[in-house]
Amino acid sequence: MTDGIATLRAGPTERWRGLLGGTLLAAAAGLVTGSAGLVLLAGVGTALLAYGRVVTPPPATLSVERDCTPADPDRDEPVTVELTVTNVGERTLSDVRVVDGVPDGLTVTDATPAVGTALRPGGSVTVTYEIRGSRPRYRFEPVTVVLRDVAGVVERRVECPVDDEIGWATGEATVPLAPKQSLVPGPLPVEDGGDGVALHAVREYQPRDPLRRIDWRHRAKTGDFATVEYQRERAATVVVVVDTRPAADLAPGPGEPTAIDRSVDAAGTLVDTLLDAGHRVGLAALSPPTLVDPATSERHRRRCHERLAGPAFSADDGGDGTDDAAGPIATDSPGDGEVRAAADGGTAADDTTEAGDGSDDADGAEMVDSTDETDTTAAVDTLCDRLPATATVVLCSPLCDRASTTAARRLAARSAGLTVVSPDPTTTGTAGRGLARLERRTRLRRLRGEGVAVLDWQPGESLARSLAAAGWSA
Amino acid sequence: MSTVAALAAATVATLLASVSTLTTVLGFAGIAVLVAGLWRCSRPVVTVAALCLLGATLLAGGVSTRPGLTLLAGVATLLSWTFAQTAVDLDHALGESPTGRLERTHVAGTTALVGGCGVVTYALYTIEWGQLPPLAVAALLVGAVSLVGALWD
Repeated sequence: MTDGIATLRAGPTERWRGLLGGTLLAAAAGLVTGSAGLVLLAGVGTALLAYGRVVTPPPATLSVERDCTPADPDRDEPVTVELTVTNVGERTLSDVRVVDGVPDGLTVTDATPAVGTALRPGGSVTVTYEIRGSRPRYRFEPVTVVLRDVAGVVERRVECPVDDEIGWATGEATVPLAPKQSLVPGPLPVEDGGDGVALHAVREYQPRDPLRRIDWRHRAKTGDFATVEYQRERAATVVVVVDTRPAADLAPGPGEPTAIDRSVDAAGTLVDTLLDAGHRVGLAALSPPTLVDPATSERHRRRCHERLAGPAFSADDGGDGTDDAAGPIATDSPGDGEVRAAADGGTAADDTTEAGDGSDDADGAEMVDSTDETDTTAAVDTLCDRLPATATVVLCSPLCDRASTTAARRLAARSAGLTVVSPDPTTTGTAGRGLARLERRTRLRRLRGEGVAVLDWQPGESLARSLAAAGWSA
Repeated sequence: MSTVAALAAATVATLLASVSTLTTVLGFAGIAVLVAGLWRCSRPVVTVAALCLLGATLLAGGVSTRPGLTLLAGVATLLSWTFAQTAVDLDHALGESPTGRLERTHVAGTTALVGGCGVVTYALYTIEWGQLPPLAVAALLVGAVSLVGALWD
C-alpha cells in the first residue's frame, strides 16, 4: 500500500437522498388503497435504506505509481505519463475513481489524467496521458482516488502522495542581464524572436505574453490566440568577472572543485551563451585585475576560453605575474578583445581551503574576511575604470567574505547593472562551517535585497539546471 | 452504459405501470424528463424524472391486482434513478475518461442488490403464513428492517 494515503472524507453520498420519503409514500399509499404491491415496494425501499446504514466505505488498499517518459524531455517534447493504481487488498473495489494531480501550468494534450474502474484483489489499472510544459520544474500534486460501494451509497475519498517532478529543457540557460535598460540597440539581429520591428514569426500564444503582441487577425480568423514575434535587434555589452582572489579559493572538501574552478566553468558557459545571443562579451578577473575587452567574434570566443584555461584565471598562479595578462597592457588582439592587466595581482593564491574550516580562524567565522578589503576595492575600482560605460557585469564569486560583497556593490554602482552567479563552497559538519554557510547566505540575501539578481549555485548541480531552476533562461 | 441502463429501466417501469392513461402519460413524461436530465447532466432533473416514474408506479399499484408487477415497476424505477445519478456523477467527476468497467460493475451490482431485495421481499410475500394476512407480513418486514437500520449506529 502506498505510504501516506490520507483519507479526506469517508461517509454516505447523496445517492439515495429522498429514498426514505418515497418508501413512506409507497407504504402509506399501499395501506390506504390496500395494495400489497405498494407495501412490498416499501419493503424493498426499507431494505435498501438499511443497506445504506450498514455498508461501510471501502478501504483504501491501494498502491500508486507514476512513470513519466521521457523523464528529462527536451523543449516542446511531449511526455507520456503512466499512472498505475493497484488494489493490494483482499477485497474487490467495485467503484474506483482516479484523478492524477497534474501540476498547474501543464497542458494535457492527449487522453485524460483520470479513470473510473473496478479492481479485483491484485488487479491494477493504468492511466496513460500526454502532457506538455515549458518550465524547468513541475511538481505533481497527490493522486485523488474516490472509492465507493457497488451502489455508490458510501464513499471514501483519499489522497495518495506520489512525489514526482518533471521539467522541460528551456533552451540555453543564461543569466538575466540587469537592468533591462542596459540592452542598447546593436548591429546584431538576434536569431530568437521577441520585441523588435521586423516580423520574426507567429507562434502559439503562451500565458504571460504581452497583449500588444497578440495577433488579433489570427484570433478573428481562427478563434485561437497567437503571438507575433519580432526579430530582436538589440545587444548588450556584458563583462563576466571571475573572483580569482585567494579568498575565493574554497571547496566543500578535499578533491572537490573550488569555487574558482566552478566560477571559471560558469564564465566559460556564460561567455558562450551570451555570445550566441548576440551580445558583446568581455571577460575579467579580480586578482590580478585582468580584462579582456568586450567583442563578438569567434576569434574572441576562442581567446576568452584560452584565457579562462590560463593561469590568469587560476588561483594557484593567478598572482605570480607570469602570464601575459600580468603585464601593463597586452595587445595581442588589437581592436577585438584586448587583454589588459590593470594592476599587479600581488600575492599568489593560497592552497585550496576547505570552506568553513577557517585557514586563519579555527571556527571559520572570519575565515576569509582577513583578505585585504582595501586591495580588493582598489582592484574593482581599477577594473571599473576600464569597463565600457554601458557594460553589464556578471560576477562569478562564492561571496564568502566581506570584500566580495563590497566588490559586488561597487560593481553594481559603477556598471550598467550587476548579476551574480555564486558557486556555494560551504558545507556543514562543524559549528564553524555552519556559521560560514550562514554568513554567506546572509550576504546573498542582502545583495538580493539591494536589487541584485543572485544565483546560489549548489555543489553537484549543473549550472544549466541551476539557471533553469531559477527561471534564468534565454 | 449507465445512461442506456437508466433509460432501459425507465422504459420497463413505464411499460409495467401503464395500466391507465394517467399512469402511461406520467411514465412517458418521466422518460422524457430523464432524457433531458441525462443530456444536461443534471441530478435534480433526473430526480424529477424518477418522481414521475414513482408517481406512475404508485397510481398503477393503487388499481392493479398484481402485486408482482407493481413491485417490479418500483424496482425498475429505483434502478433507473440510481443509474441516471451514476451517469451524471461520472460525467461531472471524470468527464471523457474511460469508465466502462466501473459502469458495468455498478449496473450489475446495483441490479443484483435492488433486484435481490425485491425477490426476497416477494418470496416472503408468497409464503403461506397461515392465518396471518400477507399485508401484515409485509408490515412486519418493514418494521424489522427499520429496526435493524435504527439500531445499527
